[in-house]
Amino acid sequence: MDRKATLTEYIKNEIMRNSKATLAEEEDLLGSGILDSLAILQLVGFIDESFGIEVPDQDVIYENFSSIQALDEYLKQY
Amino acid sequence: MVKRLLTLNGIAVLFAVGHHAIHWVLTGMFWWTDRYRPVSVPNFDLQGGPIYHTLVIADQFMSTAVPIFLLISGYFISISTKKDEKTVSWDVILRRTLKLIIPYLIWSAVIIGLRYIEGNQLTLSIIIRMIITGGATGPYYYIPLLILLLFISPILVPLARFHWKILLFSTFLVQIPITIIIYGYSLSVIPNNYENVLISFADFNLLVYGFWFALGLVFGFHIREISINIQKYRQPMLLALVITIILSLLEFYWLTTHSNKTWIAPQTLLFNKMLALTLILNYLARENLLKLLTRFFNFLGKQSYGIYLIHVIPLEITARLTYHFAPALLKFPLTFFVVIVIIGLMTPLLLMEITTRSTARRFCSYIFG
Repeated sequence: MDRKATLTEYIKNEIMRNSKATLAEEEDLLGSGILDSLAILQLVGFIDESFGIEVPDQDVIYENFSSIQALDEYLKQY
Repeated sequence: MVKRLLTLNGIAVLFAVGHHAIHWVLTGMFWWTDRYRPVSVPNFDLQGGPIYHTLVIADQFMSTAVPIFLLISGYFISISTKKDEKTVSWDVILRRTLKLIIPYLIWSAVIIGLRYIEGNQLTLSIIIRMIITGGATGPYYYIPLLILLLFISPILVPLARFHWKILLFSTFLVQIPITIIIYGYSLSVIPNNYENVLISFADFNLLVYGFWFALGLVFGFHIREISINIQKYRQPMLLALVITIILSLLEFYWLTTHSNKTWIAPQTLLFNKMLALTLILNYLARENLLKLLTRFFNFLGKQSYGIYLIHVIPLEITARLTYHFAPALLKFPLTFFVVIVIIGLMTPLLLMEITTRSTARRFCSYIFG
């Protein structure tokens, strides 16, 4: 499974708790309320565990976590 | 450091359950004493004993739960603000509010329903007031407070970004008159004419707790500098923690002694707020602290809102059942404390687990947040 799909599955199953939910790559995760404070912290932990990427504190910002597309783009640098 | 906020949130929710369990333990020690000893109640023989002191010390730490929750909520608003926009968008605020309100209404309705079954006369106006002020049960004040803070966050965000020192200084400074009023009230030295106005001021949670939300915002916007400074001042911060623990205890004992009160909520006192601050900073400065328990606390942290909303119900039911059917347990306050904390924590977790495994899984976020 590629990274985008892994992230999508994780958000659907663990954060939205609805595997049948539709989640577009460009959907605004923060603006739509899918990610709240705890969900972002969970996601940061998941990225570390699943991809071995420790997101630096200063990179946990809207621009990097606004959508799956944005997050994947950000993670490409690692 | 950010990742550890989830663990901190888990610790905070355990603290919250413990803090609210202490209310029932004290009730068992002082007001239900006649259920296990031939005395009349209230009976304060246990005040000043080793169990009482243990609870005092534990509560100095456990009362830091709400400051931690607010810090994390403030941090969320900072990371939800786009770099090129002046402040956080109303979309984020409204969606977040909605996610908080729906479970809050559900569990408020459950508690109000239980009060009604118990025989309480609740008019519609009382119910509406309860919901608006978070009065369905004591700990619910936190939800309207958080919503209020979210609604004023468009004003706070630019301050946290560009004038963070003024923001933190002013929100902390306001704690001083609040503390003076609390001292005055506890020591009964407030003139009667002013009592209502002053108490309302000191009870205004936005002023009492606004500092923590502001700190979370500042933390998010200035995380790089804060991280550097937290690491740089690790040792002095440890000393500050020890000093604030001592001052916080002295303040509690001095005020309870001079006011002839059995207990004063530590979170209303000035040095306890400083203790909360040094505790949070010391935790963030020490990467390996509680590392072995990270998974457990992360598990609690993820479900903290649901635990917070529900735990008061099993705490109260267990305490009352103990009073009626197992009063001998009240003779051992620390055992009683452990029992109700476990039940207070496990009941919401069990409910969430059952819902997650059922067809109602998709409604989890509406029921538990």
